[in-house]
Amino acid sequence: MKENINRRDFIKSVGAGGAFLIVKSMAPIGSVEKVLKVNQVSETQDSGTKWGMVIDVGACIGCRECVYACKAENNIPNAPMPMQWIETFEMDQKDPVTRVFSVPPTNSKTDYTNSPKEGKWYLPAQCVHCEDPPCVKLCPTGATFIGEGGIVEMDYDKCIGCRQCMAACPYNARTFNWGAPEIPAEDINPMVPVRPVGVVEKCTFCIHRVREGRLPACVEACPVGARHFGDLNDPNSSVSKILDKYISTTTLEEMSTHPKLFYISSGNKWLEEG
Amino acid sequence: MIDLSKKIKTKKYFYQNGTKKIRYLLKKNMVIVLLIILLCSMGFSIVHSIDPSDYGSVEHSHKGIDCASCHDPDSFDILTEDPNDLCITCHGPEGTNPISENHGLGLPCSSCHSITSELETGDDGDDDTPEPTHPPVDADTDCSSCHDTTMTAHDTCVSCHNLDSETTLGFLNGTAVEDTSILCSQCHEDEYSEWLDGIHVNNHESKVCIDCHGPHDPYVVIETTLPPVSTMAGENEIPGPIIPPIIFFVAVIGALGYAVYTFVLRRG
Amino acid sequence: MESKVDKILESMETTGKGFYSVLGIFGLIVLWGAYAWYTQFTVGMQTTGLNNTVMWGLYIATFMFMIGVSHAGIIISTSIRVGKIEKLKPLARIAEAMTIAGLAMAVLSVVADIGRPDRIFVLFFNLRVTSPLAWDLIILSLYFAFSAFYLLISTKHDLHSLADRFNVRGSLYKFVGGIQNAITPKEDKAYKNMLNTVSAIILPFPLLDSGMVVAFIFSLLGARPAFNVPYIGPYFLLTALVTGIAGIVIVSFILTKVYDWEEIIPDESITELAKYLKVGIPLVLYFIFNQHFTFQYVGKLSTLVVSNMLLLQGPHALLFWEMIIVGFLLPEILLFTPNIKKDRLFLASIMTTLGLWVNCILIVVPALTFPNLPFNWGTYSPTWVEWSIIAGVTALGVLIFTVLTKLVPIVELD
Repeated sequence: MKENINRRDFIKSVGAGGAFLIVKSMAPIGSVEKVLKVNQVSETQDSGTKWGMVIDVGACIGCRECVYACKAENNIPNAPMPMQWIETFEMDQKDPVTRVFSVPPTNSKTDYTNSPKEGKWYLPAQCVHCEDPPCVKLCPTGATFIGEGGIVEMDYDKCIGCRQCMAACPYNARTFNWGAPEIPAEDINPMVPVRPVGVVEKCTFCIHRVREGRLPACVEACPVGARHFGDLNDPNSSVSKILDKYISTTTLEEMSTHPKLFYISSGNKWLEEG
Repeated sequence: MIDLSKKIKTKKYFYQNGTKKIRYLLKKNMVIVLLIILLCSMGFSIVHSIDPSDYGSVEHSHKGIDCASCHDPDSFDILTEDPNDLCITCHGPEGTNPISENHGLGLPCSSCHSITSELETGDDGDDDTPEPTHPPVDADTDCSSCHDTTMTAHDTCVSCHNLDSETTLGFLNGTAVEDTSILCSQCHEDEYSEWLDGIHVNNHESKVCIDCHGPHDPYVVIETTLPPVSTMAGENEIPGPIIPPIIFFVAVIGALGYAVYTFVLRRG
Repeated sequence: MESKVDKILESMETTGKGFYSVLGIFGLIVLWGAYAWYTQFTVGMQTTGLNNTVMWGLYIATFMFMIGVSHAGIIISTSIRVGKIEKLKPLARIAEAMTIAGLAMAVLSVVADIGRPDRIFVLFFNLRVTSPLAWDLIILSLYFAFSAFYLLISTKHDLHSLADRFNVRGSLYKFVGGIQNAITPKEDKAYKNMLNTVSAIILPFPLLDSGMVVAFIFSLLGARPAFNVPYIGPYFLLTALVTGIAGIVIVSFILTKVYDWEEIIPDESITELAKYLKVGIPLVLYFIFNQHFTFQYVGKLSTLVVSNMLLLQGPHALLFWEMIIVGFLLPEILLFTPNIKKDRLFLASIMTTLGLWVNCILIVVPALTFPNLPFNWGTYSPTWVEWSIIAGVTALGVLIFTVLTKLVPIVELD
């Protein structure tokens, strides 16, 4: 009997220790409240900086300068497989912006060349930095989180590569490093980490530039000035003024993710015959 | 003044049989003979002596160059088989108004250049070294006989393309330029100043006009679209298995089937 | 004439050609799977057929399937203790061993799917409570712990007097179980109580596991309209239970044949399960029909295209109809034989198991193939690495089970 009691105590202590570890690992998150929250909209950030971007699809000519500027700035490799954080689509004039669901593609909307074409408009898509991001909720390790200014950031050291966030993102904004990225040494931007194999990455609104008061690389690279970036909480910023002036929309609004990347059409088409 | 009379070679007709006849006639009719000689010499001077000072206004634009440098004095044919070789003797790389190798692409110089019309001289008034204000091209010269000149906007080739070769760009007055956007500013002053201010294009340091606006079709922005990223793929060597998996699994499943047969099914 | 106990213990003590051939063959497959996993670990997941559009494939599908296999233990133990179906008693230990092997296979499948398995421990120290994968980790760990504990206790109960018969394993038994020579009725009663309690604790785990956390991995993805449906919980629970039943039929049939244990595991123990299977398969078909009927009737493009690509066109459609016919309809027809023999039941179970595995793949892959934005539709074709790792994981599960047959009496010694 004595043996049994000792064993019983042992099992009890193991059980207690295990429970303690589990609770401890949850404690830093401190978010039992979040699990119980029924209303999925997180508190809207009304004070402090809230970085947002506006893209003018009326002006966009689909030249992909933003795509390649982002690749150069953020060390996005072409080997072992070409990756990009921004994707541009060539859309028919009848395709709407809000509920854009891809119909059977008889011809690819992403592999176009020779833009702009008559009767088409161009839609650049990237991470929209939702205010209630499904990827952040579902990440098991907390490798993706909402950082300063409402920018959804990545911690590449915590990512275990489970790709739950990629499945959760309605905008397909995330890419995975299927192989170890190979970038020539002279092309590496030292301000941005080169990611290891097996982690997920996405647009970060060039937070390393935003912190210094500069604009993201895609905004600077756009030759027609279709992109605008600024503080949505500041009524004097360029984005606030544009959103006051023009009718704006976002893609996939019904997902209730409250994105911070808006689309306007200022009507300044690229084709102005003089 | 070059004395041309010494260089003109007279043609001599030698008729062996007729010499005696002429001598006989000469002796008989001295006056008539003298009159004929006088007339012939006058005729010679009319036909063969060309006053260089009349040269410029009549036939050739090449002032001060004697006829014999290009023409055979008797037949007036061009001296060389390829007339371009003659132009090269003055307009070669080290001569007057040198042209580059590419200019004209081997076509006859006269297919675009008129060698008979008058050169216009520049404002410095120095006739010896004329500065062309317009390249000596015929107004009727058809650029489209060699070049594809379908353009929607720009009517004249020569407002941007320059003298030395069609690949050199230059101002309307002929000065060659390297910075192509300055050429556009000759007509598009407003857009040029906007571009300098960074309004028309955000990052003006890296983009010039012709990066987006095709110079011959400036309305449409074509061939500036960068290729899709998916086309950037290179060779991707993914390691294959050391033995083809199908062989492995067929062997294994075969062994497994044998084991199942032996130990499971055969027992009944 | 050997007694039942002697026969069972003899199977534990002797290792014949069959055992070594199983060990050899499946060991080779495990080594091949390890080689493939090493390739994937060093070169990266580009060696698989996964891509940015279809980012989950064979590994996650096999994970779902193996969770189903692991529900065998609960089904049998619930039927015995709660349903009081004594016929299934000989199958109890087999089912528990299958649970352990199934959970091991499930966890290995998921680890194979992770891009950075060297960072697994990050997961333990940085768990985010709002993530279904975190809940999955907790529930699976608890499930494994309780199932292992149950197996331990019931083995200890059986081997209380037998440690001296074994050499190496004897010391293992003594270390783990504290085997003593005699067992008093009071101790016996204590053991039985303990087993009943743990069995009752494990009872809700199929619901918590298949019906909730594994389902939540998919149904909480609002971005995938074909996943974000509320019936996924009951659907997964049902397919998992049916998988478990079919699995236990297969394993017990093979064991009976290998050991000639007709008296120990009577035919009626196995054919009893035919009743469950006969009910379970039409229920699975009902869920599949419901899903497609809803998607087709409403015609909402995001779900209609998934349904069309399974029913009507594309490579998945062929696989879908093969699964329906070979995996569900044919076994159901076979099962309607009156007084079914266990051979036919074995055949039906094999077909059902394969059908349910294909069903897992057809749940996961088509829903990911169609993005919301105008990206190109995804494609997925598994490579040798994925097939090899799946084969290696399955072989490892078989090996674990085989080793367990030598470690614990695979039929209870009562």
